[in-house]
Amino acid sequence: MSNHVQFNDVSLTIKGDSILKNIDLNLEDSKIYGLLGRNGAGKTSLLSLLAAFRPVTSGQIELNEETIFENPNAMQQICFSYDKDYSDETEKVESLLKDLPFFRPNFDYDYAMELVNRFNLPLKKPLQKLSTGMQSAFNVTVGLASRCPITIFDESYLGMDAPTRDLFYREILNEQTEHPRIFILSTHLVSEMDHLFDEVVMIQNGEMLLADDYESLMSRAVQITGATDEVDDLTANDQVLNEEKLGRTKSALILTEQAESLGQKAREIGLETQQPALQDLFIHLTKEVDSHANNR
Amino acid sequence: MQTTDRKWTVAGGQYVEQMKWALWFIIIGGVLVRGTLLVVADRVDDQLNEVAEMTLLEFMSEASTVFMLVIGLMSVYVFLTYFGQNGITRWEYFFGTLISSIGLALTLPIAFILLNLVEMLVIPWVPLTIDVATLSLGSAAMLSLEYILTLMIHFMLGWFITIGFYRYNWMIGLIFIGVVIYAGMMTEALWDDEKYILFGLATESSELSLPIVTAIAVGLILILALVNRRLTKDIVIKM
Repeated sequence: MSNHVQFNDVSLTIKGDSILKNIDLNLEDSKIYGLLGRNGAGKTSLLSLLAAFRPVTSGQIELNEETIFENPNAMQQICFSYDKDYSDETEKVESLLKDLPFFRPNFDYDYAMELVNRFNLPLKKPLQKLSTGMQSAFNVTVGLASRCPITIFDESYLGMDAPTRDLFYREILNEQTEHPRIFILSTHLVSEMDHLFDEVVMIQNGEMLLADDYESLMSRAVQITGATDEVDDLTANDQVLNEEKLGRTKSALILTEQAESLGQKAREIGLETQQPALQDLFIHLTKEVDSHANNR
Repeated sequence: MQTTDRKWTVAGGQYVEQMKWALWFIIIGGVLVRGTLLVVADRVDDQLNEVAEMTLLEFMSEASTVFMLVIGLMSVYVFLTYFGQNGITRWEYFFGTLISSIGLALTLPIAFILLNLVEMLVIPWVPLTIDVATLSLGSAAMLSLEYILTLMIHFMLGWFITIGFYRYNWMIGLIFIGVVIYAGMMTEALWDDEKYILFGLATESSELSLPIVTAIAVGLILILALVNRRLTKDIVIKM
């Protein structure tokens, strides 16, 4: 069965503060979503609503046309992995893993043990005694081995060293091939993880900024570099996300539906073009929203 | 796992976990402390003779109410967070908690009656000079009813307090404690000989017949269950 999630006009207000505003979002099966946003943008709040950790203030969140909140069939299909505080967790890794099949019908214990070996997790140690990196590896092990149709990783790699993160990324791709599902990866490590994303969702100040597939988004972006006058003339009618000047040379980051033809024109008049990185787009898209906000 | 079965499994899981804690309580309170106090009363301090004048079932009653209050206090922070983070609904958690607490309130008096019988079998073989009270069938039945109801009330009160702290903040949590102190005193008034007058709602227990006391206690448990359900129905699971 193909799973899909729908956010319909979802808002969240906490103690009078508007945290999320009128979010509409569709998540489709077998895709990896990169959820990007600056600190305090509302990423974790959005994910905690999806995982039914809290009720929405208004709107609906549905899994396969069924409301998720307090729906046992839906809630057991959503696994939300985040940077948990395990300072009071005296249970051993092994015992916690053994309890999981009750909660997660698709939990694969053998795969969990395989990951335990790869991450060098000590089975007999209480979770509170593991290092931060090891606790993150435990979170990731639970998230991957649960094989929930909706698997969420919210900065759950914090504390992991680079080789362990690399192992985690490979496992996500491997899992997506063998056990496709909806993965949501909320991250600040954009440049390190962008190769994983099929879709990109950006939120800013609790509002939906952008939701698009990765290829399509990147095809709309182009970086043009050359003489300032020529760059200005060429990009006069386009959305310039960022400009950098060095002497009489200028580099402009453009986001436009006609990025391909614009790039073509730029090359024809001798300007250099480059495909920008998702991280650059993220930085300047969110910065632009800020400057608009400041101008208001 | 069929989701329709989950609430019973949640109840069973909580009951088993709470019984592990109860086992320590039963062994330490009903065997070690009781045994030590009987020996001290017999050999060292006559003032402790009142321990021997009580049956084991009576001896453990005060401590059991405190134990159930503590178990109730632990319910939300230990179980709600864990279950909620693992996809268990708030209704399944509430149902499981209620059923497991009923199981615990039934198990404790049964365990103490059995332990009391063991004590009665063992006492003649132990060189004690003081007389230790023996348990009659009638008093066991009467005390068990009181036990079950007071244990349930104390569990529900502990649960209520901790929901207040978890759902709101420490200041509102303190108000919940105030409500519980009042409700706790009313409960005491139901069973004790002392006279409590709290806003005219409770009077001397001797004036109340057993069916009325039972009805009031059951009513209080039901009200607390309804309030606790309402407060956990849409509670935010802490991260």
